[in-house]
Amino acid sequence: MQPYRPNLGATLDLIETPSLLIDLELMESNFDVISKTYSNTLCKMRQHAKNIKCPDILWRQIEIGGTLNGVCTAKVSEAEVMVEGGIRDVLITSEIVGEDKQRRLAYLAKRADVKVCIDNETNLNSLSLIAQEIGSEIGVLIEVDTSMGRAGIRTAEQGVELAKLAESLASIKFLGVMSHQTVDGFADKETRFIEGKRYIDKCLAVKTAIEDHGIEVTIVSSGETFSYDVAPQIEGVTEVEGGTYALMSGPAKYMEEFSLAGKVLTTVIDVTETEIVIDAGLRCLGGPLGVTPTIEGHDELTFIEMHDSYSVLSVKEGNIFRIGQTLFICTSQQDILVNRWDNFIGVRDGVVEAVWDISARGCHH
Amino acid sequence: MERPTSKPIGHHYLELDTPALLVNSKLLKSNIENAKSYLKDTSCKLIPNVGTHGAAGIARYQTNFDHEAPVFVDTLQQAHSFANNGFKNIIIESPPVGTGKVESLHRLVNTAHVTISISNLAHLNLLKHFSSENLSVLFRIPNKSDSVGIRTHQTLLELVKLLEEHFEINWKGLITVSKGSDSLEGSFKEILSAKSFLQSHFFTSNELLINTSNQSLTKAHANLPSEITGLISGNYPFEINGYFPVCSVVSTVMSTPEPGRAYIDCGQKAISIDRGVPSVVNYGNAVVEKMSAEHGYLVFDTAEMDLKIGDKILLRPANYSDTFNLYDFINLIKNDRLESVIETTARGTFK
Repeated sequence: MQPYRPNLGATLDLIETPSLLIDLELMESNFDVISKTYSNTLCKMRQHAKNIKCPDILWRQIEIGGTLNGVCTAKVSEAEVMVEGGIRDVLITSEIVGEDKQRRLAYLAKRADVKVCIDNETNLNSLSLIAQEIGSEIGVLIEVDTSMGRAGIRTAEQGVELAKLAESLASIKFLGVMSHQTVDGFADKETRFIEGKRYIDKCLAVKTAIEDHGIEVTIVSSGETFSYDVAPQIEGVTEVEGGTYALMSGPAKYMEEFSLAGKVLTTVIDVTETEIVIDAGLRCLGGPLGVTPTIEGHDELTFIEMHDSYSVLSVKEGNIFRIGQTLFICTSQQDILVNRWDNFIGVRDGVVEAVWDISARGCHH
Repeated sequence: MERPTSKPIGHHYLELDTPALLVNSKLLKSNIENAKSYLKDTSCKLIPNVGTHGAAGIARYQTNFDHEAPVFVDTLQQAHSFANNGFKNIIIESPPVGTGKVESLHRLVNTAHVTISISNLAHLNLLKHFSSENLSVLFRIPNKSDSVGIRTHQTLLELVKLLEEHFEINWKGLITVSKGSDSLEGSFKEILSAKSFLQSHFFTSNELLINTSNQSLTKAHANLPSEITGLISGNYPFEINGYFPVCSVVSTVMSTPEPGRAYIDCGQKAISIDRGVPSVVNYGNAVVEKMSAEHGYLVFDTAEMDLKIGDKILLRPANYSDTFNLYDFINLIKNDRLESVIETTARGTFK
């Protein structure tokens, strides 16, 4: 079924609900923060496409500035969409396992500058064999676990051994190191700087160890939205993988320089004395393990039930809401939510200016 | 949309590009037949909530390829999707409130018989310009497990009178939504009481429907009161039927960074954790510790088992509906082999 697309020039009251909207002014303001932060730094932003999944919007940040003209993705199919969207420099921030995916990666590397993360010899050896067979060269970065307990090497020694192996393998180009980090809860600026630097230093320690063995490290890809301003101040970091900042989401609100640009427009479909029902539910919003969104400008509303296609909210005091009224839902998990929609509706001053397909929606592979 | 490396029919399910959504077709059909058998000696018909999976291909099995049989959906857009796939008798949970929805309903009643659930005068007034034998209304009755619906018998009576006297559409009956596993009996009481009240005012409700979409369907449902004419259920095709789940997601181990830990290529974008974390089917000792947007983390006791890169992990979702919503394709599996690939034709139809 063809996804719904409002006409350009339509006002908010003409948009069917629920719909995923982007406030273009706020998104561009977020992009401006990045452009200014990285205007005179060696380190640049490599926007994470997993949050946006739409090359047109990623291109907008590249045009506004502050980036290295490339993006990162989580999956190889997502990387394909980015290359098809004209982005020629893509870092896949996960290990790519299995012959099917490695073949796709090797072919993609013939068409664009595509790099991938590794954390073990098995994976690296098979990448080399497939790239040789296909006749391409795949750039690799070693993933370093700095705080999250996910994939990634655990010690500098492991990093050195893997870098040595990468250097020795045909059709593999060793490029550097990469790490993800996270900070818990609402972090103040001091905490962000202390924690961000601590994690990034762990990644840099692996870089130094590899260089001590005479192997050149050209890329250090580290830092995320919460440390976007920390990483460029640390010598050696060449790029930051920020994604959330573009549209933002509730849990990252402590990053006050960025505004919540992505919202879901919903309609009140029922009202009682103490509750309202809206036409947006779990399928379009997501609510991992019970995390609920909020309603913009209405602290008196609380999500009490989320069903497949509708939600019930309690009203703290006298219910002033009416059936047919529209509200904006602020997301609790941005990239989970974006992955459920087919398009973004770009709105400026209450008027639809653009409709973009979320072309990497559903790219799990 | 999803871009898997497609595999020819006949491939083993462990050879599919991961993460992949699997439905065991033999168990699916067995569950559908079992569910029908539970109600076969009653006057209550089973109405599949096809919005649970959004796949016309599965809905056809549920309706025995009878496109006149009623199906239940959540949204108008879902109804359009099923109507486009030939379904002619569609019950919609959401009232047509909001921009464009009344026009959408007008288009829909030109192609299918539509029954819409409403819960107040404002909803009814949205239907005042309809003049169609193809449009029917169910009034939603709240119960102790569900607060949405018409609160008093008097209001219900007024709405029924208004509809019968001033509208050119059909009044079909009453519907209630039963939430939670222990609330079925509570749900009967309210809807049966509403029916009796209307009857005492000489209005007969032809249909009494109970929506139990998020509950398991069991033999106990055969004991529904005889007045109940329809049971709406969504999960029954996918209920556990033996060791292997009917619906599962197969994923691949991508990294084993520490003993007792494995990192898999299936995260929240490929299996929802909105209503709980999935369980591991084929390695009893392993559990999902957490899930990020893109990946999952398994922990296990190394004294009992080990996992290596490339191993396949079969996950059973905590909620089927939430997981179907994430996929464009369903891989039907028979005897461990790919039998066919069908589309989730109504995926993303939120409006």
